[in-house]
Amino acid sequence: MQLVRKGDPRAFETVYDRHGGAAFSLAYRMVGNRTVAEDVVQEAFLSIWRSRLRYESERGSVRSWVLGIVHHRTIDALRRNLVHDRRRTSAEGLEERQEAPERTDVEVARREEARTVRAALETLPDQQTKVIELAYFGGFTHTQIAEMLDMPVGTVKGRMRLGLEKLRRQLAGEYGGELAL
Amino acid sequence: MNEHERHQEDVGAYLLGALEPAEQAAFEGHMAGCHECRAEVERLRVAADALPRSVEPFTPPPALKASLMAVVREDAAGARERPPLLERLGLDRLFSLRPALALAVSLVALAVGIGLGAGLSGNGDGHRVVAGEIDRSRIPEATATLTLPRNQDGPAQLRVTGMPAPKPGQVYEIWLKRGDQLQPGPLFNVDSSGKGAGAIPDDLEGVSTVLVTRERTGGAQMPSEAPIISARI
Repeated sequence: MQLVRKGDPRAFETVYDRHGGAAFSLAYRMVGNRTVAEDVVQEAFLSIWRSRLRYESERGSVRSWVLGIVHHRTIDALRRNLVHDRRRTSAEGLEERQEAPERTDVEVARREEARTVRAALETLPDQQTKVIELAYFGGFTHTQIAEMLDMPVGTVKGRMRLGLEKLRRQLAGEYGGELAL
Repeated sequence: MNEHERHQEDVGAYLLGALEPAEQAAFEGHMAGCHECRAEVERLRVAADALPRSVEPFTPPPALKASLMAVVREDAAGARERPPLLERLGLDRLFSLRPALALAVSLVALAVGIGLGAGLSGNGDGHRVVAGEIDRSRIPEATATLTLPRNQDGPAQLRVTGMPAPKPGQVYEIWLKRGDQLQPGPLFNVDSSGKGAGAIPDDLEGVSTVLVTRERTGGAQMPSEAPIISARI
């Protein structure tokens, strides 16, 4: 990251090579449309390049920082309604998905990591999983979720927090008390 | 329910990106001065950070990388050729200090016992402390200090007091002037007493001045106003 901070495009290319797949997968999971996901990822990585001095290693991994920015950018796109419109009118479906082939040890490890996190999510009560998924992957605010589910805002916020707390404990147990995430 | 208890309820929604923009700004403002809420956010962040890792992996098209890197390389090449950004934005005038600003800076400098242009002191740890120049027409009560660690062995800290809370949807943004370029830095907020701090990445090589502006939540790529604080290293 030191070279990226100094504006070295080759170092930045390495960051993209390492995290571009996860970034695209997240954006695609959220918007359900390859073209929109590509737009969002390009916008997010340009933002990362242009604000590279904001990265603080002591506050987390590069991967978490990158995915956090992709998440925020995708939420922005969802809330601008562009994606909802395009998602509704898109002819794309499951048939156009291109799952990443398991070619390397890193990809195999990431598939395993994904399975582990999904398994931890499945241990949460349904109502906690629902508010977390609507917020994180759907890009809805807590007030929108409260309206959708016809429940008080305080209940939605409480379930979000309890769900994250339980997920944290599940993952800590899975990783023997040391989260490798 | 007091202010802290009210904000404590927002921790989960904040980590999931589910607060409204004004609520998010208010929460970040509270968190800047609340150790308990900061600790709770950090404790639960690991769970929120795990969520994107649950996603089934898909391969991005090669054209995406090609298109992205073309822009990045053009950016990098342009950065070496563009005229000074401060000049293009008219911000260079700040460094020549307008008379009113210069007077205000002088008064502040005198009040804290330092000379204008030499607002630099040290302490026993070998850290250097630079006094920030304040635009008193916009933030009349503010003070700012920039603490530079010895041998750049850690992040520099910009600490402010007497700052007004940013408007809803706004945040304070730090900028680093390196050569003739102005690069966006960390964002920070202030608590209800007007205190706040921003940690600046440890690589300050070539940085001559640290600046602060008010920008929309999430930060900007270019400053939208003349700096309200500037600290010359």
